[in-house]
Amino acid sequence: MGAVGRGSPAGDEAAFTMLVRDHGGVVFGVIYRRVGDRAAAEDLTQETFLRAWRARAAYRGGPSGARGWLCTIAANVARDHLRKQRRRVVEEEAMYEDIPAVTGDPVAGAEAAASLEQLRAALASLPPNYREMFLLRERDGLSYKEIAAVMSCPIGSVMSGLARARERLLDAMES
Amino acid sequence: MEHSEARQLLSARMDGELSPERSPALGAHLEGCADCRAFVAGAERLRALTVEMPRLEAPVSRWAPPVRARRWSARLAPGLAAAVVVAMLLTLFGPPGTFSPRFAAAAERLTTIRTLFVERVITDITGTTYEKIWFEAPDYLRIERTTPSGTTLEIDRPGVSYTADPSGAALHTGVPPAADILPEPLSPTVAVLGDLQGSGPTVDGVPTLRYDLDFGDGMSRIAYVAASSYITLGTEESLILQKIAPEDGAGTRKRVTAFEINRAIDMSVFSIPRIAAVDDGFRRGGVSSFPLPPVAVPAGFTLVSSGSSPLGSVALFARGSLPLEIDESLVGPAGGPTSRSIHVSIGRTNATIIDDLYALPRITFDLSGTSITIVAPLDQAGLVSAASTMFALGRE
Repeated sequence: MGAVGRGSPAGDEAAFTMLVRDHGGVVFGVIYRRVGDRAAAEDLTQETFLRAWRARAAYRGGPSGARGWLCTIAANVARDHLRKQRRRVVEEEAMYEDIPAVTGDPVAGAEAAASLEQLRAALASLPPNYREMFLLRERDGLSYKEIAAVMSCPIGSVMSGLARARERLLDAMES
Repeated sequence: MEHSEARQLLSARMDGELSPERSPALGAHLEGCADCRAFVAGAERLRALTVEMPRLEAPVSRWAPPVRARRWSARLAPGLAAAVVVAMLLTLFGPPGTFSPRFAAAAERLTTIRTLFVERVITDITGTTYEKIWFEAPDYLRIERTTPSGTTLEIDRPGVSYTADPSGAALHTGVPPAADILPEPLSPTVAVLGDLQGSGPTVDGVPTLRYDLDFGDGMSRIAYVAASSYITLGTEESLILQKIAPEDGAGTRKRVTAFEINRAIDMSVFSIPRIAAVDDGFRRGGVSSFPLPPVAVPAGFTLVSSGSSPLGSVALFARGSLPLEIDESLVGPAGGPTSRSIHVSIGRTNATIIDDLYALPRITFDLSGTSITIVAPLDQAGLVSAASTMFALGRE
């Protein structure tokens, strides 16, 4: 783990704490969108980092791959949780919305707030898988390969899914 | 070049994922196509806007890597429980390979529950939900649920699970065996997780006991439990007739309005309509093919079923009606809002015991990069003993 100092336990801990700071929000989002329950998502976020902490010696990527690695663990933790809670993991997984309503931001102004709200509505109209791919790419910065790993789908599906998502969003924003 | 192909390539290019040899053809198309140029401009605007979008607040400030021992307290905040390892020495009762009698006897009594029929009414901020549950021990379950937004049906039988809701139906075959098919009205761990407060109200003519459960962080439940000797599960709790969860100020109330024990159930309620199955990829196979096969099996247990799927490897053992399940996967189970985690050390191995309102107790630990979970209706000592026996823990 390039971002985690090897050797001193204090160094390990400090570097890992930074990982939590840099990626905790993204991991929480990945889990919340699949589980739909804040309290459970909080526990599972902790669980994700606990697993990552225990597996840190096995991580072979560099700092730039940490987010994708954590998101893949998070998606698995969420999927496992749903299975154990005896909720069905159906083919197209339900995705809960994790974008709070855009209220007026005094800095950005009313026009910017309206655009953001329009985008939020347009995203809500997308099929869940497209929306998830779009958010993982544009908001969380994951690569196609990382998105494919998180969503357990072929890279080709990510490529076509993103193109479709962008087309449909542009259509929705124009009307 | 086709438009749809161009869109995909343009989309990939703005993500830095386009292979260089496609570039020239794409450039040529772009020069002659105003629509595609507009697509690129629009997608760039979308990107700029998306970066500004707010996120849900995530409470990640409580992380602490597991390096310090803490005194175990009865009210563990679920989030912290997962993040903090408590070093605790457990005294094992009896020699390895035997099980603490209390829960084991309780599980044997599960045979007295051969069938269960329950009707429940759940009231929360979404409205009123009606549930009917049919259960034939150990592994037939049917739940009909009617909510303000429609009706759902869930049927589980050995190796198969079926769900149908307003958006469609799905059938999964090759579902791995599981020990913890335990409909919520049975929930045997209330007494482990809660504080007995004395008698509760009479629910449908049945006297109840009241248990208060506190999971910390503002999460609490009150359960009114029927205590009847013939369905006692060994630790004084049995059916939960009424449960109240004050969440978000509105409160959730679950009330059993009808229940029948051990009346014959027509097996046709567990039959599944014919639809195309989706293979979960579970393949039956021997326990010896697991990433980390157990070195021993506790006395009296026989293998019921085993195999592997992309999720991991699962084996179900049984001694009479006492089930014991082993799960091996990359990622172990997490507790939840209705569970409590207890951290234990078995020799040099750190393990976690998870007690949950809605599932059988389990113990989980990591060995050689594999997460191993043992699920069984046992108390802490019994779970530790099972882990020790099956994976030779504490003997280094």
